[in-house]
Amino acid sequence: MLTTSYSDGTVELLDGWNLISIPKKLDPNYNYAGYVFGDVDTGGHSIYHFNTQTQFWEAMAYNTEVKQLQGYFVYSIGQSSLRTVYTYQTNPSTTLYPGWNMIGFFDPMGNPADDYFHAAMARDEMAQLGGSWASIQGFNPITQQYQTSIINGGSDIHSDYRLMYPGKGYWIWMDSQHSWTFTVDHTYYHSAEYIVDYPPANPDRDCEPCDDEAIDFYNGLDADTRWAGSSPGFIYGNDDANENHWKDSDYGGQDYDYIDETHFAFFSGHGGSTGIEFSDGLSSTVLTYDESLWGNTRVDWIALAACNVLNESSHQNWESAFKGLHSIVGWDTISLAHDDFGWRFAYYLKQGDYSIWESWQRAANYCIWEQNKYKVAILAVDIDKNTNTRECIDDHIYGKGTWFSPPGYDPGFKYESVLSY
Amino acid sequence: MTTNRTILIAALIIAVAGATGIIWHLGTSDTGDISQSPETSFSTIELKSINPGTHFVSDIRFEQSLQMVPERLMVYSKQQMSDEEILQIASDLGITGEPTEESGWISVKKGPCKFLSEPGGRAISFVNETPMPSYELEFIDSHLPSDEEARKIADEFLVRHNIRAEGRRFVGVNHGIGYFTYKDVKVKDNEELTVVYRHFIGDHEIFNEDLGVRVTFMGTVNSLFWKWTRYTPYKEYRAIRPEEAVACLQKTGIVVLGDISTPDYATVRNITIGYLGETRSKELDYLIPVYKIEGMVYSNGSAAEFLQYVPASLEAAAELI
Repeated sequence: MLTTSYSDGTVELLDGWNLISIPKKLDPNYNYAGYVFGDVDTGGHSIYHFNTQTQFWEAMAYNTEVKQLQGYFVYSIGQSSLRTVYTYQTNPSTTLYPGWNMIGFFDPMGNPADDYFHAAMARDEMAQLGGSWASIQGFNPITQQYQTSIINGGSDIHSDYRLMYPGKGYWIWMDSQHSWTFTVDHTYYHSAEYIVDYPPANPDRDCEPCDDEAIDFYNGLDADTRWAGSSPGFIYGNDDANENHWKDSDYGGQDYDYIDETHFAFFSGHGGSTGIEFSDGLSSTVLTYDESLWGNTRVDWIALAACNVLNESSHQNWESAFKGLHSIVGWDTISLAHDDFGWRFAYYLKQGDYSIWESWQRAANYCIWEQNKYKVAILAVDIDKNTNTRECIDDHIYGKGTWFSPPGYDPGFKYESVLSY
Repeated sequence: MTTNRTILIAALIIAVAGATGIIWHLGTSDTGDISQSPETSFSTIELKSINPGTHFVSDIRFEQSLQMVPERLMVYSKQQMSDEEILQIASDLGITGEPTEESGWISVKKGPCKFLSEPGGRAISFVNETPMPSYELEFIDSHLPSDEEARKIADEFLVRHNIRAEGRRFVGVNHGIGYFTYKDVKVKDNEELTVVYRHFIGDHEIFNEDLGVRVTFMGTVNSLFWKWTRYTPYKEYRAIRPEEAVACLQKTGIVVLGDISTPDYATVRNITIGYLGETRSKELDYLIPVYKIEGMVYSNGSAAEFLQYVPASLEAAAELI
């Protein structure tokens, strides 16, 4: 079992009231309340679930089944934890009714090679519900008060880019009835764009290996069983590649239909500290960091094989582009395009199960011969703003190891830059 | 008449006299008596940079006197590692899980430790993903080994795990630093030391090979990347002189490691003989001798570095690349 990105599956209770849920499907021999809550001293309080359909609070009996996607109010004297025996996962589902519903959390991105214990942004957790939901409220057992609400389409502290967590229960206000289901397995998608032909018609600016870098990365990852280059994945080069594929709709772009419709996007071409350069062979345009909002649709990781995009002095420019994005790997210094860089990067990701950052470094170490001249870098979300924890900077791609779900609201960041040798 | 040709003639005469410290000036692309077929008229080790690209510079000068080189240089034949040898290395690193193989890549995992070898063992990688107990700045700074200590840790690690990197030569310690940022806050939250060794055949470096051992601030080794070739002597080939190699640059262009679009002239600061076992686009079956030419290009008061590899034996390049 892989170690979790967020927890080990233990549902912990603090002293007082707790609003909790079961993060995974329980073994049917051990899914009754008497077993699950057996170690909790409730001080005589009942364990409650609110039934929206009947509008009644339901007290759990000894044999009442403890279900996924449902929230439970539990009182604990002192700290305690639930007894959880998990089983093979099947797609959980429930129906949500107009009004307040007490729900549980399920990892929307987990897969059988993983542990289903990842957090998720509220907008992703509730994606299936569209406009049917209005607001979500969690409960803080430390303060014994409700947390600030998350509002569908909300901003600032009510942003739906805030995280929801496994093991936690929530209230959700529904404007209309809606079924709510999750799948326990996923196919993940990747995309790549490259520019070889740069204007003016001076061959010196052409990036000869850029096509091989991108194509080989794309094909390399496509060979993994869990990753697909098929639609919405894609690979485009030269005048088929376009800055609008990377630009957010807020700035007139269509990234939601292109790179932000995939989970991993790769670019190979010219770049600089302010952006990446596209060309149709006749003229060129630059996608700048302030036109980019990534992760608000789907994309989790981006690789920019372009010079100086993550320069140590200016990498913070890209922080505003993170709206659910986990990390960007790129070059701190000028870069050296190499025919083998892309497929090596893909191989370390999928064959070695290396983290994205380690894989990027390895590919650079192989392709760079010169000492002390080239540096690769990563900019990643620091979810809890705690320097003691690594999180997204240590992400592996889905199916290959641990990964962390970042919020798209108010994240901290980690930046690292290392010399290739 | 132009002074370029006059200066060239004078420079050649001085060179013959053995003077040193004179600025040599190659104002033409005259490569002297080198006989070059069309196939070898360009430096066949292709090198392209992303930014700004390859530039043709006719005016190339020397800042130093050129070293004497042997008339003939050995080419070496590369030897692949067997799967058994590769798995033994994994075992020596303590990674004894069930190996998997795909397209010649061998992968072994055990807990947080991951081992990956490219086909034939041409590059071997190890990583230990065990997290550190703390990433607080005070903890990092109070535990971080010195460069000397890091080297000792790396040396001992290689011995302890039987990593036989013959011909290795310590060249330095790289520092990789990480930062946490949030709004206006920026604090260091990681530092790792990579002890770097290069691969030498006698006094000649294999330019595309190295060994890096990463030492954490806890003084543990959490990563190793080893790109190394085993080899046997193959055949000797006639070598060209350094100035002939530099003359090749006028035909092939110079790869500039900086943002200069129209260089006026270039200055060669260093020429070293070594070996390469690959071009930028393909692996070779041999280690062939090359000149590594380093210098500066200048344009309108700006300067940038350049770096170029030119075969030290045109016959070897023609036959083996």
